[in-house]
This record gives sequence, C-alpha cells and structure tokens, in this order.
Amino acid sequence: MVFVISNDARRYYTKLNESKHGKFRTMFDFYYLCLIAGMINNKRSTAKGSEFIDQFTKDFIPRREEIIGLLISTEIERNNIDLNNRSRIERLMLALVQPDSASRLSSDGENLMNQYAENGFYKILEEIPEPPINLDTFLITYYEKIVKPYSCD
Amino acid sequence: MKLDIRRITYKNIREMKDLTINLEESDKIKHISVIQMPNGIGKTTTMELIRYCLDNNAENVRPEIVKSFKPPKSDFLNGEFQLLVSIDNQIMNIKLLLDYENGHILYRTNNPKKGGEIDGLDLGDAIAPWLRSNFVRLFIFDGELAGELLEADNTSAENAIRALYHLDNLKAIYEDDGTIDKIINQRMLSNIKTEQGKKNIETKLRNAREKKNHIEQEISSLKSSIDSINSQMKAAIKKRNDYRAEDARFIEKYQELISTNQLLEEQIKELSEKLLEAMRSPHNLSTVFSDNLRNLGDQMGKLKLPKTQSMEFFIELSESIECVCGRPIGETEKQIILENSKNYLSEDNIGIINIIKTHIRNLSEKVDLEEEYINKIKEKNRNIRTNERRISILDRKTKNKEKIDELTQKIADLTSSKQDTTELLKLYTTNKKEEQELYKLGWEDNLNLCESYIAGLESQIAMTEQDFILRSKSKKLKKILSEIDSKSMEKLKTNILLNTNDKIKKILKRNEINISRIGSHLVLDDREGVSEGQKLSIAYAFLSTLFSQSPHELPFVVDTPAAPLDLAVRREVAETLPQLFKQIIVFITSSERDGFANQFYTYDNCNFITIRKEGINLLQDNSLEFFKNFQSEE
Repeated sequence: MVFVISNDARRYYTKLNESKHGKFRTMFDFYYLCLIAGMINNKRSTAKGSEFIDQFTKDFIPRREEIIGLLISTEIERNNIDLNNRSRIERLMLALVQPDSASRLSSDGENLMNQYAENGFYKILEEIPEPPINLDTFLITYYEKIVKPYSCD
Repeated sequence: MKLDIRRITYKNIREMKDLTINLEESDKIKHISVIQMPNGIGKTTTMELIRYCLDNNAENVRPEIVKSFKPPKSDFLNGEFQLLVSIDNQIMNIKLLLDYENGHILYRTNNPKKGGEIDGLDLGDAIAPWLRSNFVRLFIFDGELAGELLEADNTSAENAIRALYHLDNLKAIYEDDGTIDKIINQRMLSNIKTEQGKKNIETKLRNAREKKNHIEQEISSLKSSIDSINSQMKAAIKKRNDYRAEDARFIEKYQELISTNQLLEEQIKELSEKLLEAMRSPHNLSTVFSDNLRNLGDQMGKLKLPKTQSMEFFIELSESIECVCGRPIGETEKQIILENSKNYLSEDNIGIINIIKTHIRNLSEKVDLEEEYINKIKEKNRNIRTNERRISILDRKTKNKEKIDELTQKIADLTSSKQDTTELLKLYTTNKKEEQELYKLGWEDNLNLCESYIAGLESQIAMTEQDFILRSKSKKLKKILSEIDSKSMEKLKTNILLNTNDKIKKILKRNEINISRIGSHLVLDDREGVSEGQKLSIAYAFLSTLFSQSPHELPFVVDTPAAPLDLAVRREVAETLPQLFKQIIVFITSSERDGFANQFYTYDNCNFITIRKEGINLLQDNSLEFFKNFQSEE
C-alpha cells in the first residue's frame, strides 16, 4: 500500500497550488492537511484515489513518527482502547507500523491514513468549496474552519 | 548801348550776288549814308536781313520767305548776308547763312570777346536783352510802323515806348504771359498748384492721421491680446505643471503602495510557507493533538511500552539448557517459552515504537500559529487591501490626465493664437523694407509706412504753403510792377506827347495836326484821317522824340522815307533826322532825291551810294555826281 489521493483532491490541489503567495512544496502537504482534517473529523472514507508517493516526503520525515503517533492515538480513541491496556495498545502499534516499509507504516497503517485523508478532503471541500487563489488564505481558512473549532471543543 | 553799322555784305541774295556796302571811311562811320537803288534790287530785303541780324529772329523765319531771298532763276543753294557792326566800340561781324534748299537761316557771330567766329548770334549778355523785335523795328525802321502808331486798337505806340525804356519787360512780368508762372512753377517745392489741390492733400493727411490712430489702436489691442494670451498661457502652464506635480506625487505614492504591497505579499508568502511548515507538525495545529500525543507518550512510559525483552530473547532462551533463574529448560519448557515469545515485539518493532515514543514524549513547544503567523498574515493582508483601496483612490485622483490634455490643447491653441497675433502685430509694426515688400504692405497696413506717408503729406503741405506764399508774393510783385509801369508810362507819355507835338509842328507847319494823348496808340485831335505822308511825319516826330530822350546811341535805318511826303515835309524830315541819330542809313529811289536826299548834298560827313543793275551785273558807285545824275529805268 502507498499513499493515494483522489482525482478531485488532485484537481483541488492543482488549482490551489496556482497561488502566488506561497505554494505547497509537494502534493503530500495537501494530503497531510486532508489527513489532519479527517482525523479531526474522526471519520474515514474509502480511499479511491491513485498512488502518488510511497513514503513521507523530505519535509515530513522529521514529523513522520509524530504523525504515526497521531494515527495510533486517533485509532486508540476510535477503537475505545483503554490506555492502560498495554497489550492492546502494543498490538495496535504492531498492526500499524512496519519498520522495513518505506513509510514505516504497515499497509493497514497506510490504508488508514488514506481513508482519513479521503474523508478529510471532503471535509475541506465542505468548508472551503472553492480553492482560494492564495495559499495563505487557504491555510488560514483551513485553520479557522477545520482546526480551530476542533481545538476549542 | 552804342551801336553803329559799318558794312553790309551780300552774297547770292536776290540781285546782289556779291556786293559790299561800306558805311565807314578810315574806320569812322559816315553820319549819313544815302543808298540809292532802283526798286527790285533789294532795299526791303536788306531792311529785313539787318533786322534779323539784330533781333535774333532769323531762325524763326518761314522757309518760303527764306527761299524768296534766293537770286531769281539761279541754282544757288546758299546765300550769305553779313553785317559788320560796332557795339559799345567792339567790332562784331554778324553772318546770316541762308539755306535755300531747306529754307532756314543759321547765325554765325564773330565776337572777339568770345574768341572768334561762333555758331549762333551772340552779341554779348549786356546787349542781347535790348535787341528784341519790337525794339529793333524802331530804329531799323519798319514803314508799316508809321500806320500802326495811329491805328486804334493797335499798341505799337505804347509798345515803342515800353521797348525803348525797357518797360515791356516789366509788363511781361506783371501781365504774366506764363513765363513768370513757369519760373515759379519750376521753383515750386510742391506740385500742388491750387487751393483745391491743397485741400485734397489736407484731406489725405486727415485720413492718414485717422488711419494712424486706428493702426495704433490696433497695435495696442494686439499687444493687449498678446499680454492676455501670455497670462492665460502662464496660468495654463502653471496649472498643468501643478496637475503634473500632483500626479507625480500620486504616482510616487502609488508606486510606494505597490511596492509595499509587493513586499507584503512577499512577507505573506514567507509567512505562509512558515505557517505551512509549522502546520506540518500536528501538535502545532491543535492542543487536542499535542495533548493526545503527550498522553500517549506518557502512557507508553507507564506501560513500559515497548517491552524491553524482545521475541528474539525468548527464542534464544528456549534453546538454552537452563533458565536465567537456574532451573533446567526441558522440551516442555522450551515449547512454552517459544509459544509465549510471540507476545513480545521483534527488535525492529521495539526500535520504531521507541522512536515514536521518544518523539511524542519530546515534542517541541506548540507554536501559536495565530500569533506567530495567522494574525500577521491577516494584518498584512489587511494592509494590502487598505493599500489597494488607496491605490484605487490614487488611481481616480491621477485622472488629471484629461485635465492635463485639455490644458495642453488650450496651451497649443493659445500658442497658435499668439503666433497669429504676433504675426499681425509684426505686419503693423515692421520697419524692415524687405518684409514690407514681401507682404505688399501699404501705408494703410503698417505704422511706419503710415508715419512716413503722413510725414510726406505734412512736408508736401508745408511746401505747398511755401509755394502759396511764393505765389502770393509773385502776385504782389506783379501788382507793384504794374503800378510802376503804369506810373512810368503815364509820365513818359506826358513828356513824349509834348515833345512829339512840338516836332510835328516843325515838320508839318501848315497842317494843324496835334496828338491829344498817347494811349495804346497815338490819338489825334478831332481829325477824320491823315495822309500817308502825314502818318510818316507823325511817326518820325514820335520816334525822334523817343530816341532824343533815349539813353541809347543807335543808328536809324529807313527804307524810302520820303516817297509819300511832299517836298516841304521832306525838307523838314531831312533837317530833323540828322539831329536825332548819330548814324542814318537811308535807302531811297532816285525819286526821293528832290526835297529829301538833296538836302544832304552839302553835308561833309555823308555817303552817297548808288547801286544799279547793268545787264545781269550789279554795280556800285560811291560818287555824289553819279548819285545826283542816276536815273533808274523805272
């Protein structure tokens, strides 16, 4: 399994990345924001896109473990796993990570990521139907409409 | 003036083909020369030619008269008549050259004072004014004059007095035969001769001055227009410059705002990239994320996750013969250990989970995205929008372009108008001849030309006024001269009347003829008429009176003076004439010897010359005896 992104998300990304006020360095940036939006929404959708990369990009390598950690944390919450249940947590971890894969994630882990990202894209599309012409506007709108309400809850 | 005739010479004139009559002896003139010749020889011709020699009138003689002097039945083309005279003791020879072919006469004068023979008649400036026809016919006596003196409406008597006393010149001046006016006209400064002409010039001057005033007003008006145009142009240029400066300020501000926005956009881009960079760490996005991660990390620590013993440890232990506690490990223990080893993570998994645990337990402080980036970006975006609004306002304000364009057009129009006005002003004021000619300027178009024209008219008027003064003086002079003439004539006539009557009494003793007054002619006392002899006698009396009182010493030349006179009168005339003249030349026929010529036989100082024709030859005899006995065939 590798990271996938839907065609709609690709088009949205392409249009958004015409911004003159900064650009996403890679499509993984947009994928990441979709992932976060999905995780905040705590919902997954079936990933129906095509593969765009098989590992975390250079910008995300330093945050790779944090993101995997967030995935584990999100899954613990979604699966209502008791935080004191050592063995379930350990099993969850074993299920999501795979040290020898490029993404350090198991195919289940990657699949989960793709599902959260897919759902997150719909969340973005719902909140920001038209991709703004500027990246800063998108980022701020994204933050204010998707991230901030979640943080204030 | 003293004039006497010394010699008469003929060549190819009438009958006298080659004849010289000497009237002097040993350089002294004879007092009386009686020249006897038959009729038809040339007495009248001689009289006429002598007159021509003195009155300078030969060149005006009609051609047919000139041709009549040609010897009859001859082929001569030329004739010559010479008169040797002494004028104021200066001998001069006057020559008449008669051209029979063309019918004209030319003069030649041998005047020693002029250096020998010269063309024309030149008897000297002192004499010439006297020797005019009217005067000459008094002493080169024209027989017709005797009748004219008594003819009513004839002015010969008065003319004779005037001629002798030179009053005829005076009369010519005051009667103004045109000569005086001609002289005055020549001296006139202006060509204006009448009051109307002067008025016309004054009207022209008045019109020209009015035109000059008009031109000056036009010039003043044009100068005002140019001043006004200059002011308008100055104002328009200033206004346009102000607009331009205003726009320049706006443009400067505009550019500044654009630059600021560009800078802000750069900053936003940078901040956006930093924001994105921060957002790449999930814990920066939300405290929920950071808290969850930290809780997970803490919980892993508490649960000692991952386990320190790895799967590989138990697999290795199952192969040992005794446990780490010293108890032996049999087959049963071995299987139990291997089965339970599956509950432990592999070393790789432990490694990565440890990394995750370490990472989430050591998360950096959450970055306040809003404070650090979002608010800044927003503020900068607000600034950009504010600037854009300002730019928009400036954009509107910089629409001075239309006004600037309008002003530029206005300035162009004013410049054109100024050029036109200046050009017009130049036409009115230029004093350059080439420009005046180029634009065909007249005095009505140009101030300098108008001023010159006025100066010309003023000068003309001034000259006209001088001319009028001259003319007025001329009239006064004529009046004075007329009075002088009138008074002189009155006195002369009174005197001449008395003396003439005395002489008439002497000559015509038995006839009670008396001149009652001298008007233009001699008016006799109540007489119905007089005979030819009486007329001639009155003429001699009159002329002898004139010459007896004259300042001149002149010869008296007369043709057949006694023919009409009876014997008694002849004697009186013969007695009187020698007393009156220093030289008497008398042409007579043989019939006049009795009573007249014979009166001179006893005179010592007398010539008796007989000219006679014998065959085709003309002979001259100077003896008294021949004279006395000559009988002409007639």
